[in-house]
Amino acid sequence: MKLRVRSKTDTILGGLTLLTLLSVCLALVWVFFRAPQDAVMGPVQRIFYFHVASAYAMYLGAIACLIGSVWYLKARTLRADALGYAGAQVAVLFGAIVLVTGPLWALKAWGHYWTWDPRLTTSLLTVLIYAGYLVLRRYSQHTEFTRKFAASIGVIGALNLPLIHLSVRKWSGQHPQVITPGGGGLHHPDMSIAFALSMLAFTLLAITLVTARTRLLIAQAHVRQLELRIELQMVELAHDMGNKLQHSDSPADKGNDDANEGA
Amino acid sequence: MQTKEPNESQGSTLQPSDGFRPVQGQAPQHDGAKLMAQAYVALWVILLVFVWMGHRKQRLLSERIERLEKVLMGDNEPKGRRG
Repeated sequence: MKLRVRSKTDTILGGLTLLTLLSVCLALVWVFFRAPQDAVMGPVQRIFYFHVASAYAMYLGAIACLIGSVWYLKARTLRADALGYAGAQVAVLFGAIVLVTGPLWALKAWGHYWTWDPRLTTSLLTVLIYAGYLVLRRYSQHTEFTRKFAASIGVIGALNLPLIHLSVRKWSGQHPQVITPGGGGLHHPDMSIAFALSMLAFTLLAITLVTARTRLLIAQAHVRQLELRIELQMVELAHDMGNKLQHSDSPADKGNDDANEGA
Repeated sequence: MQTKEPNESQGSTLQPSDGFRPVQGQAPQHDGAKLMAQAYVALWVILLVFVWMGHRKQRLLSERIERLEKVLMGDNEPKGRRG
């Protein structure tokens, strides 16, 4: 008997992975070979293309976590919980990329890695909230309470997202605002194309990773349930066997044993 | 090497033998290309570690499924065979 069946999701995931790889390659070519170097910042400006795209991918992960969390709090399904968990993992992944690439750019631009700028601080806070979510899931038992608690963290984490976006406008700060409603600060068409391709690549990457992780988490939960059921059946079987043995130790048998002992 | 204060009569002419003084009120210069390379290496390392962890979890899950298959196959075996 084979439990593994190639499903429609496998095909979709395969197609998504292929598309993601293609778009990442295209974005890399554009960022490094087509987009011109920035006149003021020099080569370090190229960090921007993947730094902003990673921040956007972090938002996507956090939104997936929010959808999964709200869905879980309403419907209590395995799929919803898995989506929330996968979203938090992807949010932390891209959040870590943002927090590593940003300071490297800042060292050149500001002369230091870190400053307690509103956008930097709120971004760090968001990543820490999702990291807390993952720590909770990793080091606690798979109970209903844990899942509900994690789902509420998923909702709270998402409340922080608009704060990151609005922090620059509300409290100013050092963080630049290159992407603005008025057209933005990319003054060359190839710069804009490189940025658009990076955004596309990271959107596909985030969707692929959330899908793959959700699928993996659902499968893990199903296997865990099956293992528990098998364990329960084994315990019941052992219990039945114990009962049968007790029945075999009936008075008639005992009498025979006594007779044997007397002989 | 001893450092001397610049002589007023000399003005701002460069005197290499006078020694070296740090730049005042300006951030130290960092190599932009090096920082960019570091950022891209970090990005791919973080991404690849995440993908590798997913692959490892998938492999462990496959092993668990195989164990479950064995248990279920054992249950489905004809009773005569088990003696």
